[in-house]
Amino acid sequence: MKKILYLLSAVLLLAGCNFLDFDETSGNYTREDMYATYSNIRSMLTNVYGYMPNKDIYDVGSALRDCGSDDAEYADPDASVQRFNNGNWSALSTVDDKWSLYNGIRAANEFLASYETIDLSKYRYDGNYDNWQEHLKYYPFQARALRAYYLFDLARRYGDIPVPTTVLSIEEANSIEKTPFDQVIDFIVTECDDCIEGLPTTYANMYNNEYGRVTKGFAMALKAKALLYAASPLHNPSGDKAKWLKAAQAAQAIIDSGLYRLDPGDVCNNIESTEVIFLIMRSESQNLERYNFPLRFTEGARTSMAGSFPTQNLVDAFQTAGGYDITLGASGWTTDDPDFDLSTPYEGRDPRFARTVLANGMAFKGASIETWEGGADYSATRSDLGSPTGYYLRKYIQESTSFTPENQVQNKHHWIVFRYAEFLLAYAEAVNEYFGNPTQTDGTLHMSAADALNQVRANAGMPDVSATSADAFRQAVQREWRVEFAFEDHRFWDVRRWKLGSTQSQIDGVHITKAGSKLEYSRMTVERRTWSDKMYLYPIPQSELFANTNLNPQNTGW
Amino acid sequence: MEHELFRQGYGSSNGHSFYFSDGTSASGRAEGNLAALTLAPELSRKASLGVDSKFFNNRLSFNLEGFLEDRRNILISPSNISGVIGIGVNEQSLGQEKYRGADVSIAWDDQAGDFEYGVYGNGGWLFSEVVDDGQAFQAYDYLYHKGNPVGQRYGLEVIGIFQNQLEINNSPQQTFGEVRPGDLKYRDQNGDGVIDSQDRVKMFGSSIPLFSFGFGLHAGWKGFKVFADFQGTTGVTVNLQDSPLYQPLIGNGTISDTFLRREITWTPETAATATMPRLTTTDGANNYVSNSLWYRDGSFIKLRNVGISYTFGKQMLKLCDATLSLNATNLFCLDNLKFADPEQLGAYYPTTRVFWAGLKFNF
Repeated sequence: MKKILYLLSAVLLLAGCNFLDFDETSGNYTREDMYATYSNIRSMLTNVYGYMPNKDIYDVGSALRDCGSDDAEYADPDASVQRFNNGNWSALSTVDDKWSLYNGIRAANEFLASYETIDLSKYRYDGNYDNWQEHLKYYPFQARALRAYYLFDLARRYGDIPVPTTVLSIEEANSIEKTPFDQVIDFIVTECDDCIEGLPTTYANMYNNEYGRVTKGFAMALKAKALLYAASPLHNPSGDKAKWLKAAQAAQAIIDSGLYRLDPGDVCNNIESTEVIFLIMRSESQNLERYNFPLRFTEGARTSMAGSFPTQNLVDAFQTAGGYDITLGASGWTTDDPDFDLSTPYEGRDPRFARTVLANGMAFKGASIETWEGGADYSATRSDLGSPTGYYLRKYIQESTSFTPENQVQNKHHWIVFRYAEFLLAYAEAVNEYFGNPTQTDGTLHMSAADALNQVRANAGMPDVSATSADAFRQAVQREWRVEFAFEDHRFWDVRRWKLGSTQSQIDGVHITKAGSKLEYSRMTVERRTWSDKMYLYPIPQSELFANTNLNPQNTGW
Repeated sequence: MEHELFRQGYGSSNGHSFYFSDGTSASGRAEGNLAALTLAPELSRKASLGVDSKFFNNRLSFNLEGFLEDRRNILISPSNISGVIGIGVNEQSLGQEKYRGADVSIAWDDQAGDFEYGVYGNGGWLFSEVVDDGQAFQAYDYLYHKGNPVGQRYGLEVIGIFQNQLEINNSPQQTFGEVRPGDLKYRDQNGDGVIDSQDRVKMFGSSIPLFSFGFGLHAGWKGFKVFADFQGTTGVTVNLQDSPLYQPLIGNGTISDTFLRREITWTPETAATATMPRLTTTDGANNYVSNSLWYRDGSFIKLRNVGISYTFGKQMLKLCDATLSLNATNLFCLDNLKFADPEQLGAYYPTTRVFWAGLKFNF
């Protein structure tokens, strides 16, 4: 009997049960949860948008990327942006490497893969169901367009890059091979072609009026820009005209679409401008003004060196209103313009000058800018927190921003990613290179390069350019890019694609002295920068080469 | 968002927001870090070989054991994954460490008539090696942990104290904090003109002792018994920064008399004999990073237990046995630090030394 009892109790105590099936997890969302409702799907796509660069205007620490070019100098000599200029840039000490764009690419790849599994049919009786379906059909094209943009941003930095089109595992990420630059551009172009078909021209008539999403215009613009960079001398050493033709045709498609019109006013920060193809909207902020206002307007908000200051090199690019060059020498201004008053060198200039640069004598916030030696905005050394070049940033700066303690004003800054003027200039550049003649047209390219350029000139209030040779016209187009798109993150890339590295070494400013009521101007050296031709491309970070040896070889020279 | 290592979570903490219309921000949701696909319990493979022996009629005992141990699946944060993957990766079970060591003990117990006595000694050696701790790519070879002992100390090499501003201006730039005369001067290991985290080198030993030992004796004669146990370690490096005495005045804290008696802080007058950098109430970031000044030899020998007792036998008391004993614990410590117990540097009070007396009756 005892034995039976022992046996029985053993059987009961030693048996296990397997029906305890409760969920021990903490309720984290899974991938299926993320694609189960419209609101979550929308959030997954919003995350892909979040990787667009330059959202805060400044993108390299607190500096605009133009401080790595001869357009601007950043105040703090130890800031990371100075690595572009002072010879400290290397694979071990990278700056602006934007390898984080691969996170955006992965988010897009993940979205595209999961999109196939979406099934919202259980919501089909919801009042908004049709609206959602209308939006949903555009979502994959938006993800592809964004992915193409991120690939472009990586390719213009590094040349050959790995192109993941699916979500990678650890082994795949550590062994993926680089794709040559031309093939990356081809991929971007085919993606953009599909997105041109698939995206709408505007979202304004759709549910929720989400006009900030990427449109057909964005895809056309990205295609044109990518083809232009592929045709430019850096990646087209042989000058292959077929590449210029493709670039011209892509730019022409935008011009012929009739979707956009040039805007004579300031396009920056302007959501409603007819010229905007894509811009990134932001909330109110004072940071850009905190870094860049002349010190006396910051009411003590700026306590350490910061600020992107335009150089004399940039100022020299702005012509007089009559269309003549004007340069500053060691002992004053010189110009061929017979009607120009050299004693007021900042008046009577290209109208875009006053929108880009704050120079001595300009009216700002109820006062007049004084950068002469001893003036209110003069800065003898960088630690005085003023401009080392004699000029202050005006573009994107909102004048009404205020730091006065009882009356703080913040403003929104909206970054322009693409605008129409870029593609008129792209067309002008490409057609000029293709024909070797600025006034020629033919069956497919029905506007001449000169006409396209002059449309931009006229919109800015400047007289036409009348160059007749391809070389002179090329110079005119390059100058026009510089003055039209100053501080819109073009110069840094244009220097590279046009291989203008030799112009980057000498950075100048203006030195003004006041004698009585007369101002004397002279050119001064702000700094000498180190330029080396390897800097046309970025160095691949050494830690990446270490993790994935297939990313070798490193870009030449690094 | 990642609560479990083994499951990838999705949610808003990695997500970026974007404005699709002026003034209305849409929030984004994102993939969480990749799950730990290699998650597994830590695995230890150990092989040991030993001998237990007794000689001379069990009076001499001798034990020796050596072992080799390999530990795998240690949870670490992996850092050699290419950024092209585009997502963070959770801790993975990829770490690996190796250990080898030996333990030896020897004891002699004997009896000669009423007198019994014994003496023993033991010691253990432990050598460790980091095989893989998931360390990221380092720009210089000396920065790697691989091949060094587990718990190895790393820090900046101190080459002196700055005496004046001119010396500071002529030396490599030290990036940890404000530098003024009286602050520590470091060696630039990689010659890049800057003292930063890339100038950390392997120095001294590890926080895990290389050799631990103990020895002691016991003896008894008629009713008397006496015993003493010593214990010690060597081959260990301690960090004075663990002691509250060695960050005086930081953040308006206090300063101890012990510190002031033992050390001479730098002032322009004491510059020739200074042993410590200048006193400051700021956070002293330049001086209080890991460096060779703070690492000291943590070897010690302690008299752990000592006692003497006498037993009054039943014959004497008729009813019971009685034992009278006197014991002490942590009687003294011989070490290199002298002001504190190397085992308890972080304590705010000294190690307690305990004496007690006892009387035990056995009915």
